[in-house]
Amino acid sequence: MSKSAILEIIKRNKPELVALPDLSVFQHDVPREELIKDFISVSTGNMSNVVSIIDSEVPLQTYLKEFISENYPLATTFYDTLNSEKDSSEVDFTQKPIDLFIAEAKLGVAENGGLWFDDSILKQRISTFACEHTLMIINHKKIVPTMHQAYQKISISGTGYGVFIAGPSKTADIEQSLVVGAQGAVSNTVILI
Amino acid sequence: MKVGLFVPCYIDQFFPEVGIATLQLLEKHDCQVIFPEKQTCCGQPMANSGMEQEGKKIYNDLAGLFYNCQYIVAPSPSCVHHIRSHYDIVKQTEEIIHLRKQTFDIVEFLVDILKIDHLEASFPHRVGLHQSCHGLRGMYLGKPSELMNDIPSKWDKVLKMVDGIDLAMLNRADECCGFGGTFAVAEEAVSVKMGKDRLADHNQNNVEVLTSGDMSCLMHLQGIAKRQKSGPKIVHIANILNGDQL
Amino acid sequence: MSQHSKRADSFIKDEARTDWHDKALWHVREKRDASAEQLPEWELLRETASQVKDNVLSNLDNYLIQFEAEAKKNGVIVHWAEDAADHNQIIGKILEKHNARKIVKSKSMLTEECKLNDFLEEKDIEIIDTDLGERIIQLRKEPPSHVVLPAIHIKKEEVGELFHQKLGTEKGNSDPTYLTKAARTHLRNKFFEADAAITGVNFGIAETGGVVICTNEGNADMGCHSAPVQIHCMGIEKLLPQAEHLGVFIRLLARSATGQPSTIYTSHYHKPRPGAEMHVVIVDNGRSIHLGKEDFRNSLKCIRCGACMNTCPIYRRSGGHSYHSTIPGPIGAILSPNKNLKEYSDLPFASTLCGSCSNVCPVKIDIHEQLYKWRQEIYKNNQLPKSKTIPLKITTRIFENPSVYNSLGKIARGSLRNLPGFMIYNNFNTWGKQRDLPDAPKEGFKQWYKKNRNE
Repeated sequence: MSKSAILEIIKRNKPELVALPDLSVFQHDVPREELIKDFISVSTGNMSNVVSIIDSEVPLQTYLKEFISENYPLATTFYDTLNSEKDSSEVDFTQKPIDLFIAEAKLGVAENGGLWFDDSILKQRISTFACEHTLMIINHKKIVPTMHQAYQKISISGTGYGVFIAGPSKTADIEQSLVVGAQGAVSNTVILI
Repeated sequence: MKVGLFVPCYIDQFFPEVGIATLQLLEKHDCQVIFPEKQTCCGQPMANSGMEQEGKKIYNDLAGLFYNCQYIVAPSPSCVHHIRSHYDIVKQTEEIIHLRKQTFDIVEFLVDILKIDHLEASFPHRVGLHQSCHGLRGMYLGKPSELMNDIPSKWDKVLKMVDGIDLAMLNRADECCGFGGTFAVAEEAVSVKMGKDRLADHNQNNVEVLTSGDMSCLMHLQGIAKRQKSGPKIVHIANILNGDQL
Repeated sequence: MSQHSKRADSFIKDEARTDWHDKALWHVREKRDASAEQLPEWELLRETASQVKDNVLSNLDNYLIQFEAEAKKNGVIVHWAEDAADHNQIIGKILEKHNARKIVKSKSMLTEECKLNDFLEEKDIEIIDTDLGERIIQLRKEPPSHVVLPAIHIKKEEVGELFHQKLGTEKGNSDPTYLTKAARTHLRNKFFEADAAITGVNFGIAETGGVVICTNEGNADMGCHSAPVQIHCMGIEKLLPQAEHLGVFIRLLARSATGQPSTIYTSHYHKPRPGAEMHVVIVDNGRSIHLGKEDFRNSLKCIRCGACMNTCPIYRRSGGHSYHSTIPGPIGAILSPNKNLKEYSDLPFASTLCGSCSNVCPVKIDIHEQLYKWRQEIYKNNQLPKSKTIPLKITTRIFENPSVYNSLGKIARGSLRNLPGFMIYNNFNTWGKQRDLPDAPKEGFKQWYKKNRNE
């Protein structure tokens, strides 16, 4: 009832059809080194710790193990999406915060440091928000210049939920003072591989 | 070139020296200036208050007075902007079309039509430019700080032709002064606060003379400065360009 | 005095606080400038966004039909609300069905507009705003004073005292980090206890039937992924045709709002998670009628970035509450008269028409032109006070009659050495409260001209 009433008024009141603009003007190639430089500088600006092991020959798992024990010495509970042996759908976030979230993003965006995760990676949507700390891995070859290219590469509806995450959660709602760790993760580390 | 001089009402009544400087500037640049004495006002005070319908006769009268002039020049971007943008509510007669197309602010006229490249003027003072909103955002006489494209400033261009002038940089390059026509009285508290803040910016940057293309903004700022018994001297840009001294 | 000018007057009485408020917002404007400057294509992006929205408004009915069909395919339950009451009833019913008593909400100007909190509280349902700024003003029982920075008018000491009273923080501690952590702990529990989560919507995508929500705190996600029911309230004008158009708008939104290249979280919701329920409530509440007003329909393009507030010299010096409407600032001043011309007839006059708002607007709404046009509408609808129309009508008659105009000026100057009253709209007193009048010259320009140039 409401639906037809609303649509009826819109039909009567809308202006003549206007064509959509051309978006191809926003496609430009950026050299890879520059993309990575931009990505690192923006992510750092968003208060992420960025570590590049692009040139490292150490296997990722080995590196991560060491990195985690060095940087998160107190962490005891993990939500590790790289480890397929554990069933992450069983993890309960409501009782006690999980210390560390670990996942590899499907895509990264140089202009804003956004990393794309969807249901296929997250399993539990709340995981990346409810963990105290997040550790995100991105293959440097998967970094695109802007959101225009990002939306061409991803499918926003492919899995039911997807999110760009550009850093740890933050707020400036009290006198414009930046505070990291509002409702989501209190720290975020990005490892470029 | 036959140029009609339009001297807006408040300049005629309060600041005749601005009209005189404009006239002399045009004459110096070989314009044959005529001044139709029946002119009064562009109608903006009513229109900005919502009563543009009441101003139709004023619009048509003004257009009729200047129909025989190749160009119409006024020392007020605000009035020029009003004529160009808001005279769309009357029948678009030849007179109205002519007026809307051929009316220029004095600075705009010097730069775009006369294409001057030098001025016989000297003004050895530290000057702060108030970029009045209608000239800035309505006519692009300067580059609005919000926009990211390249817009060369016509105000800067002519002021830089004046010998000895020292143009000050301001903390806020183009914030509104708070005059706004009837806004000045309808929203007195905000209007005065805006003016005080503009003056403070000029003071902080050691401005000796505050200038602008719009005398209405300057009248408001001058009123506050006088009451505070401090602040820069106020001079219309036409007087500086005309070589008038303090 | 109008409502706005009265409230502005009392806001400005505390000049130091006014300066503080002005500087805080100006700083945000500066961050926006710095961020926009980095994109050579900035102005083209704005133009493109404006054109995308032109297309959306011209095809809105079809996009809404498409959105609903796609959303349904994804298992989303779609509702249509004609007005605020309808919207609240629909949400009330969803909550009733799930016996939901505890609700978390993330920032939504639409639910503010519909007064959803009041409606739910009357039913004894607990509704918690989870954005930190929103939570602060909710605890203070105040409306937001800004669409993006709802608590921008409140000092940290006041937040410290408020949290001491309501959340039991230490007395006298007003450190923003300390207070934010306290709110985090308080809200964590609320998220996990919630029976339902309600959010606003930044963008709806017609082609995929999903909604996009942008936050820095992650509060919308914490709510939606915790509660068994998620409800998204979306104005009909929020649609974009396809995913690729998000590229344009996500690039513009946060840069315009706070100068960030994007918000920390840009979340795309298309299906409920297993075992949960997802609803979208499509809300009209006057928008479809607004669409029919040619001069004013552009304002439906608004993406609620708040840039026009940050740049507005009046907003910065009068505060969001001076606008006495859900959406404050320049955009609020052109949206509100659509809802109630009489009540909001003062807002289009709370502007000098300086045009800065139109220049920062990421979708190029001609805000200051619409303010001018609303003033004309207000006069046509007899909503201008006589104290304004009578002197202006007299002034008009004088301007229409050059000989009267000439002689009035001369008489005033000659006999009284005074300024002609009609020039200052018969309002010497108000002008002169804090300003001097210019000295009356000996002669006007016309007299000078007659003497010096004629003959």
